[in-house]
Order: sequence, then C-alpha cells, then structure tokens
Amino acid sequence: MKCTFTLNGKETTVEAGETTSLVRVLRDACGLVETREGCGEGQCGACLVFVDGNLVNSCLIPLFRVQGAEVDTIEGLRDRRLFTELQAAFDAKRVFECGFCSGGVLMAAYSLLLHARAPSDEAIRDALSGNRCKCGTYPAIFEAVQSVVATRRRRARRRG
Amino acid sequence: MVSTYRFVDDLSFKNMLVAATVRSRVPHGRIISLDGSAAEQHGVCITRSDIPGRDTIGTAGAEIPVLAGTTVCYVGEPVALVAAPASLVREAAEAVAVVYEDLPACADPDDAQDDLVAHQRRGEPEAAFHDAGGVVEAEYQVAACDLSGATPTAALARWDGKTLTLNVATSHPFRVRDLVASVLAVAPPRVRVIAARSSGSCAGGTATTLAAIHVALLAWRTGKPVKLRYEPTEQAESRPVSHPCRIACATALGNAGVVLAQKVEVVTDGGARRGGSGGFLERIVAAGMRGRQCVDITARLRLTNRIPSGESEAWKDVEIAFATEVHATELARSAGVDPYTWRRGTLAAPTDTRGRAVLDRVVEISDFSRRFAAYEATRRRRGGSAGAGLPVQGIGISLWSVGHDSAAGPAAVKITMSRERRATVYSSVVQTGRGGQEMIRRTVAEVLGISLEQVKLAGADTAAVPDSGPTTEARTAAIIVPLISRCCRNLKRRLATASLPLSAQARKKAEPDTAGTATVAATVVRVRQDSVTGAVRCTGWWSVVDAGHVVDPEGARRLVVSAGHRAMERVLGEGMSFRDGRVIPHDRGANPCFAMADVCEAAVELVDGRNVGGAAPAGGVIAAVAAGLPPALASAAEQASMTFVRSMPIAHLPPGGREDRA
Repeated sequence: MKCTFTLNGKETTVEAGETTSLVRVLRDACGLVETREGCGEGQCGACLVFVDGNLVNSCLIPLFRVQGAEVDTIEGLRDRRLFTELQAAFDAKRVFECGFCSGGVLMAAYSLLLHARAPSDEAIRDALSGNRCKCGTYPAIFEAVQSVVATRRRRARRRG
Repeated sequence: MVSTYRFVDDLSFKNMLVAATVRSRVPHGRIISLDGSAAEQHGVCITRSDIPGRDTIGTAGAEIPVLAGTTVCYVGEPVALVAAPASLVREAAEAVAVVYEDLPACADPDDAQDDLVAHQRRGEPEAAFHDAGGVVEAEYQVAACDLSGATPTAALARWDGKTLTLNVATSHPFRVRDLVASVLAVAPPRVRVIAARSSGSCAGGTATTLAAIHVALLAWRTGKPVKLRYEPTEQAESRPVSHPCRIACATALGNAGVVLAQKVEVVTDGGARRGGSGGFLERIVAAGMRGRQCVDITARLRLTNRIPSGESEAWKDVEIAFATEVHATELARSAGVDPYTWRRGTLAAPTDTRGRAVLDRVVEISDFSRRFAAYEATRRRRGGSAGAGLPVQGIGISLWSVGHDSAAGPAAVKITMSRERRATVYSSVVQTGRGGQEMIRRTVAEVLGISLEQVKLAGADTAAVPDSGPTTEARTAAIIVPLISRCCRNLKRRLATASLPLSAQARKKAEPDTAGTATVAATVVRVRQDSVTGAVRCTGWWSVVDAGHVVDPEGARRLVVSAGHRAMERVLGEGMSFRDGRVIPHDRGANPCFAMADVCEAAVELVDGRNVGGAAPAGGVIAAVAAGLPPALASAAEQASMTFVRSMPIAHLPPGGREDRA
C-alpha cells in the first residue's frame, strides 16, 4: 500500500506491505536507523517513537495504522532543548555501553519529562520500565534522568 | 554522543540485496531432496554443494557445517541461503523445497550418551568418604540461557571481484577473515573484515560467524552488496544458547565439620554439535579442582538435538560458581556456623590473603553478620510456619575468583603519533562498550603524557590494524592494555631522539595462562520474599573486588554494577525452555528483574591486593561478580524462604516456611 503520514514534521509517502511494522518502514524505507528493532514483540522499548504524540513501540504498529498520522522519531528531536539536555546528562554520566537501547531510553525519558516537570523517583522508574538494557545500565540511566530533573528544580527555584 | 552509534543493520548500499536463511524445521532428519531452482526465479540460492572451499568451521572432531549436508541435527540449522531484492526475498526463501526423513531426536541430556568425558582426581577421596563422620550431598541445576547481546545478528558483504569486504559484529575479526577466506577458497588478504559495533557480549559468536560466512557466499556469488539480518523470531532458533547444566556435589566431613574430600559430577548439554563445548570440559574440571586437596571431579558433555552451544556459552563459570558457593552455604548450615565464618575458615592458599581481605571488607560494608543473625532469629521465630507479619528477608554471601585463560594466544598492537602529538591506537580489539575504550585511551594518555582528547582508537579493520586476538573483557585488560603500555613506552623512548611523526609496534607470543592474575570477588546479596506470592526480590547487594591495578576505577565500578544487575536477571527469571526441540522465547513479562523498577541499592569497592607493583591492570572484574552474585542471591533466598535453592533461575519459591526444607 501507499501510505502518507507526517514524519518529523514533513509529509512522507512510502510504499510497503500494509502490515509491515512501522519500525521496518522507518529503517528500511525512510533511512531513520536510530529507531532500532530489538525483540520485535513490544517488550524491549528499543523502537519507541511518537505517533500523534503518544509514545508507542513501533514494532507493534502496522503501516496502515499511521496513515495520516504524525510520527516523530529520535532524529526529529535532535534540536529540541529538552532532548539535548537529556543527551548531555547521559553522556556526562557515561550511561550507555553498547548503545543499542539508547534511542528508546532517550525517547522514554523525553516523553516523561515532556509531561512531568519534576517527576518523582518512582515516576522515573515507572516511565523507564518498558525499556530493556541488556548491558544492565539501569542505575546509570536512572541517575542521568534524575540529574536532569534536579537541574530543572534548581532552575525553577532560581526563577522563584 | 548517542548519535554516533552504528550497528550493521544500520548500514546499507545501493543495489543491495537482502539475504535469508532456509532452516531445518525438524530436530533431526535426513535431507531426501533439496531444490532451490524455484527460488532462483527471484534471486540466487546457495546450498552446501555450491561452497567453493571448506564447508565446515571449527576444529577436527568439533566441526559445525556452514550449511547442512545430508542430515540436520536441530530445528533452525541452516540448510540453504537465498539473496534477492528486499521485496522478493521472503518468496525466494519459501520457494526452496526441502524434503526430510525424520530421524529419532533427543531433547534431554539425561537420554543422551556421553560425547566427551574429562576426569581428574587428587588425594584419596574414596578413603575419605569411607571414614567420614558425615556426608552432605546435593544436586544443583542451571537452566538454559541466551547470553548474547541485544543487537540482531547481522552481516553485510560486498565483493568487487578481487576483495570481499565484510561488516560484522564480531569479537575476533581476524578469525572471521580466515574462516571466510577458507570457505571462499581465497587467500586471507582478499577478505577484509570491519568489525561493527556489537551489543557488549562475546556470546552468540558462532551465529555471527556463520552469518558472516553466509552473507560472504551470497555476495561472492551475486557480485552485489548483500545484507543478512535475522528477524527477531529467527534469532531465537539461530543463536547458540548456554544449555542446562547439572552439578552433583558430595562433601565428606570430619570432626568439627572439617572438609575431608569432595566428589563433583558435572553434566552439560552441548546441543546438537560439539562445537566449542569440548575444549571447555577441561576448564570445568580445572575450576572444580581449584583450592581442593582431596577431590574427584568428572565433567560429561552430552549432545542433544538442540541448538549447539557456542564457545562463550560453553564456558560454565557461572554454573560452577553457583554449585560451589551454594554448596558451601549448605555446608556452613550443616556445621551450624554462619556462611562468612565457614568460608573464612576453609580458604586455602594461595588465594587466602586476598580472599580473606575481600570477604572481611564486604562483610563490613554490608553489615552482613548483624543482618544474618537478625534474619536467622526471625527464621527461628517463624518456626517452620508462615509467620504472618514477620518480614521475610535473607542475606547471602559468596567468594569467587576468575582467571584469564583466554590470555594465552598471540597479540600485536601498533601506535602512531602525529606531528600534532595526536596518538592513534591500531588494534583489532572490538569496541563493544566503554570499559575497554577507556582503559586503552587512559593508558596511552598516561604513558605518553598527552590528554585523553589526543588519543584516538582506529576501528578494528583487518586491512588497517594488526591481529590483537579475540576481544574479551579479561584479555583486553590483562594482555592488550599492558601491550599498549609497552608500545607507548617504546614510542616515548624514541621521542627523545627522533622527530614526529613516529610509530611503534608491540607483539606478544602465544604463551600459557598468565598465572597469578586472577580476580577475586566477595559478594553479599540481600533479598526480600513476598510472603503471599513467594516472589524473591533483591533489595541490595555489595561487592568487594580485588582485580589488581584498575586503570579506570569509576568506569570499572559502573561496569560491575551493570554486570551485577545482568546477573540478577539471570538468577531471578531469565530461563529458556524447549519444546519439540524448539526454543520457547523468554516470558519477558514474567521476569521480575527486567525493568528499571527492580534496580536496587548496589555498592562496589575495588581493591588492589595483588602486591605485584601495580603491573597488571584489572581483568575479569565483571566476570567475578557476574559469577559470584547468583549463588549469594540463592543463599539469601534460602534464608528467606527456608527452602534450599538449588536451581537457577529461581522460577518460584514457596512463601517462607510453607514447605519443609528439602
């Protein structure tokens, strides 16, 4: 099928099987390779993207479901301040080892901080519980997100 | 930065074909006919008879076929290969017609004959057992586990008529180069392997090597770039797994609980092909002999019709540690002393000084003795019944050491320094994570007196770097970093008399295991058991690791914490199961330790007790904790649940005290 949707702010048309998973379309047809395919079962979170503002596992979304939708991938967030803050915090904490899960983790953290100004530790853990890191870097991921939240709190206090 | 990560599946080329593997659908069978002519309408099809050179990999007696010949031995064994444009590749693979005659299949090592047996004996264990005041016997089991990383198995090849270029996530690019060359019947320099980023694990290597060979054959045949990537569902039946292992321990005790002798029998399932498993039997036996004066140990390898084990998967260090250390806790309980005191009292030379130091320190920082006594008191109050309202907690301890057997092979490195005093390190060490990179960069910066920013690591490309041997965590630290340090010192000496640019090389010959470089780790784990469901959760763990001089202590500590959580996953639920010879994928939803929400307090201390002048940097830091944490966790679960925990993963334990102790 031919499917037209808005990808990172630009109208995009692709041709693929209607049940082809969105992650394969993004990677193979659109060349956006930082959305990764891990388990293919919606359990590892490596393929997280926004569809109409909702964070979803793109391995579970068939192409026909995004007809007319707005799809945002990690490549589309590059210039956003919150994303660069998160990326800087993850780098400062030397979080990732192999980096395979990195895109999905950053997307989940971005989604959390987009909707919650200063989430609790529990909320951070909950928000990132759908992401699997085979290298086991969970404590460092947690610390990196916490550090962004702490920076936000400090900034808010300064503003009074 | 995150954006620089690139894996093989992220690469693509113009006019690239996509490959697919036709796999056996039966666990054991004879191939009656194999017809790929219909597939040729969509692309190309390769069977074993099309292979120009060697059609197996592995050593004599332990060969793994590149493609199955007359028989298949497991579900998922590669039978044929196809390459076609992406839109046609599935049709092409489905068009390959294979007819099998079913043969009897064996899915259980208990039903299989011994394929190989290794045995060693020291002292007179029979006499000791005859004279013993008591004998403690138990059998421990560790379930199958997929140890490989998260990255999908993938490889990409291009053939320009003279040279084949391969992008593949391998830990030993030169070995893959030589294997591909032998399969294509070309000279090794005509194959160039560029090691791609991989997901931090040496495991799954056999599948990756086969994928590299398969894609090379297809690129050579078609003359076009070809990419092979296993679908997530295909991963499960193509990646080697660490198969179940059963270890029976019997200990003869004398007066006052003194250990007189031990008998150990290890039964391990190698899967359908012996592969790398055979060579590990001797290592398993050697690990069992360590520190024991009177012992009889036998290791048996059995072959079943399951996916073969790879080399990494056949290394049963975690399994041996689990049995040895849980058994030690059981011995302590039978002797009526706490497990820390028991271990301290039975430590043997030469590890005793370092072992005692890390044991004492981990007990101190975890408050082990007080907590153990408190939990024991609670246990007594529960008195074998559920004990409503009482916290169900436990604490366990282990002591484990890891040597560096993989250090034996030769290695070479090269370093250049530009006029701008920028150093570039050329080695085939594969950059799987930050640990190895940091160690190398810091060493170069320190010895040459330059900043970290002035040190660059060249990619592991067989056309550009010398062969540094396989990349393993312990080998990089124990062999490659000292070699790079030597190379830098050589370069620095020449700097005094020569002008830049300069380059230097260093080589190491093949030699026996580097004795005395073992890493010793003591680990304490605290758990809480849900008194209703019986689920065990880790609430904190502490490790004190003596790994000698550590180049990047903060980085190493982080890696150990990550490794500890990975180990926790394995012991708390990442089991694999098989049905009709097929792998049943993990039930990830049921795994209590996959998620961020389950991360608990962890403290890791690194100490240097080697007293060898700081010459050797750390190695095996991760492995020592990864192997030591599961038995400590199991022992903690035993205290909480009042049930001996003798198998891993701990799928289910009855809520504390509801079942009699086994």
